[in-house]
Amino acid sequence: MSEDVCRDYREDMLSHFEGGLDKPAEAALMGHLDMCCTCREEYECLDTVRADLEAIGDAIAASLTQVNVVEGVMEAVRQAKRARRVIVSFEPPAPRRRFGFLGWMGLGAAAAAILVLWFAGYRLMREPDLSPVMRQAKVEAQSPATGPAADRPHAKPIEAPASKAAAAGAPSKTKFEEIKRLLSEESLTALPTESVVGKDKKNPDLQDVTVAEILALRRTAAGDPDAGARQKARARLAEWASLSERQARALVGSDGVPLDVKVGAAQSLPAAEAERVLLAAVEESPDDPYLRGELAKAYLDQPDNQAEATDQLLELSELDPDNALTQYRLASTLLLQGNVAGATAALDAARSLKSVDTYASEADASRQQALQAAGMTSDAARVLTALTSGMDQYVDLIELAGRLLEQGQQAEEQGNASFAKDLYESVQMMGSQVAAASTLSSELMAGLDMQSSAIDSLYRVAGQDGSVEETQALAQQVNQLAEAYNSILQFFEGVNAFFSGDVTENALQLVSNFILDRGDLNLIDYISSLAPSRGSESSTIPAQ
Amino acid sequence: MTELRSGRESALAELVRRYQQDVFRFCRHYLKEVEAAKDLTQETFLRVYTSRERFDAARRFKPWILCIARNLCLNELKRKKTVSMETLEQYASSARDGSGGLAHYSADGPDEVLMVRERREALRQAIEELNVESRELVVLRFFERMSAKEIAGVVGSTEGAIRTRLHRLLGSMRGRYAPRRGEL
Repeated sequence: MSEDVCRDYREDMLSHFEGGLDKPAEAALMGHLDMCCTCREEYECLDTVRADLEAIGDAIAASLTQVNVVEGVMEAVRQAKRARRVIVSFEPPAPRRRFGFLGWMGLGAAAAAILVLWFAGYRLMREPDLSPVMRQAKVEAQSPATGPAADRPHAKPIEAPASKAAAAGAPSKTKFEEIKRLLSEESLTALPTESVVGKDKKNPDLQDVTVAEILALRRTAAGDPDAGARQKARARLAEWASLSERQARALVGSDGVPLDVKVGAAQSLPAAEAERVLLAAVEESPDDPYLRGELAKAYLDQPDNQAEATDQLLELSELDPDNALTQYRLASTLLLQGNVAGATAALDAARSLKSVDTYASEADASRQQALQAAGMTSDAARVLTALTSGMDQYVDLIELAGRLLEQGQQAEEQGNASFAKDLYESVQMMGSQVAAASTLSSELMAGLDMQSSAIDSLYRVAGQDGSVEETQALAQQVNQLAEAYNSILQFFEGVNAFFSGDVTENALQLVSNFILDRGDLNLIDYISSLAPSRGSESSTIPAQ
Repeated sequence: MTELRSGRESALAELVRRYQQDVFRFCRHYLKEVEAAKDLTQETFLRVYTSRERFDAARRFKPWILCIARNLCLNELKRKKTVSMETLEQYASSARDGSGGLAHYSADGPDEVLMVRERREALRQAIEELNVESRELVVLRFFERMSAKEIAGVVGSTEGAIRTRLHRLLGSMRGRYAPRRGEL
């Protein structure tokens, strides 16, 4: 037999033992073995290897003790059902169209500065810079997104230099938790419970709401010694700032109401009802990215409409290609549809984009129109819209982060720790991108909270892997986040301290206009730069 | 699985009874410690329960559950650090007869039986010292008697890639056998 022929048959022999030889080739091989002693020898040798391996496997199986884990498994299932699983640190409120917290924290400082400047004869012309406090908050919040190392996807967070880390000591988790507790009592994430709000949840006649009443409530929310009274005041303002479902349906069902107003009213409706309004709006203005985004969110809220959500998000990515949030939403809905490859590509794209737009200003404009159309005076509608600017966006961002983190948890359950970690790091990156691009304090808070939740999940994975290096890196990030939270807490405390004093209605009107135009973070920057010197790096806003 | 997905938890107990030995044996190939393998066996079924809604009824159950078990075992090994790959020389050297060749097994006499036993013991040690990827291929193909297609489903690869790896592995192990003199 020629060596070439035998070489081919030896390849076939290996395929035969892999089980990958079809019948004709099998027959040809066996025919050759009948004729060729060398190949027959080779075949028998391979067969010996196979038989030895199978015999070893059988011997191992026979030597193993039998196990019975039925009771153990059923008990574990019972425990798992009893255990409370925390996916994210911050529970998003439900339903998503209502919010119970207000973002007026910037107003106090703004109003104080307006009064000071008004008396001093200054004009509000200069472009604002970040106040030292808010600049620090944003810088800390940007980490780990910034820096050359963070430009790469999946970049590890920037670690503090060894000397700084040593000086910082172990992460102060207690301090971190305390800051978050204080923030949850006084800031954007305060969610009054049903018992706090009470039974009287009906919106008032909107035409009866005055700027004076709004101001009084804001003062109570800022400085009342009773925490319950502060929470109730915040809840009351939140109720006034959005339509009830009944009011929204009345507007949507009216023939004479413009579509813009109906879009604003749709913010207060369940997703299936909002969808109808938004579809009509998108048909009329197909190139409006805000409308596409709202329609996509309405679909995202309906489990059976994920394919439609994907279509809208793809359209939106054409209209607004630099917006990272669109890609994060796309990743989330693609994962729900089992498209891991598509989701991974979307996450890669998201991490490389610098821009984040929540369309908060467009949402504010349409909500204000809806409040006015429902009977509120234009002044009251404008002030309430400004005081609550960005709150709906906060809820939306936290829900998006929560969905991605939950999908990461599902990946962990299936043993795919690597993909789970990828998702957690993406949420962390999303948080830093949101914080870096924020113009509203609610957006900045959302960015911090998203990072915090992601770090919680990353800690869990690092703990399971036993990776000391990763755990230490995460500890540094917790420290950085704690500093960012501390900065924004000082800011809110300063603003509340101001609002506890005297603020005029005129000042509130001017401040509201400014916030709706530029965001409350920008307003504080401007006030900090123009206010009389009150010491370096001080975040305390002088009370009037 | 269909019953489990529709809410009958007793179906889980039945699944455990049917597959616990297979999963435990499979985990033991990765983990030396019996208790660790038992813990991961239990964890595998817990994951089956929590992931029941995501099970595709069109696929076979055994490769799916072994895939979960494999992921858990690999995570555990990664946590503990794997044993580095050793050559199969130990097997080859201990199994060679006086002439340098390897005896073909035969159950005819006590000498033959002893030779086979020694050869297989050396092979067993060599297998334990393979890298994780090669060892699991041996386990899945020759111990669990799975086809290349089923193996691909467990390890998350393609059938073609598995065949290629098996091809190389078998060739590599065969390379340690020397032909018996005088046979030709």
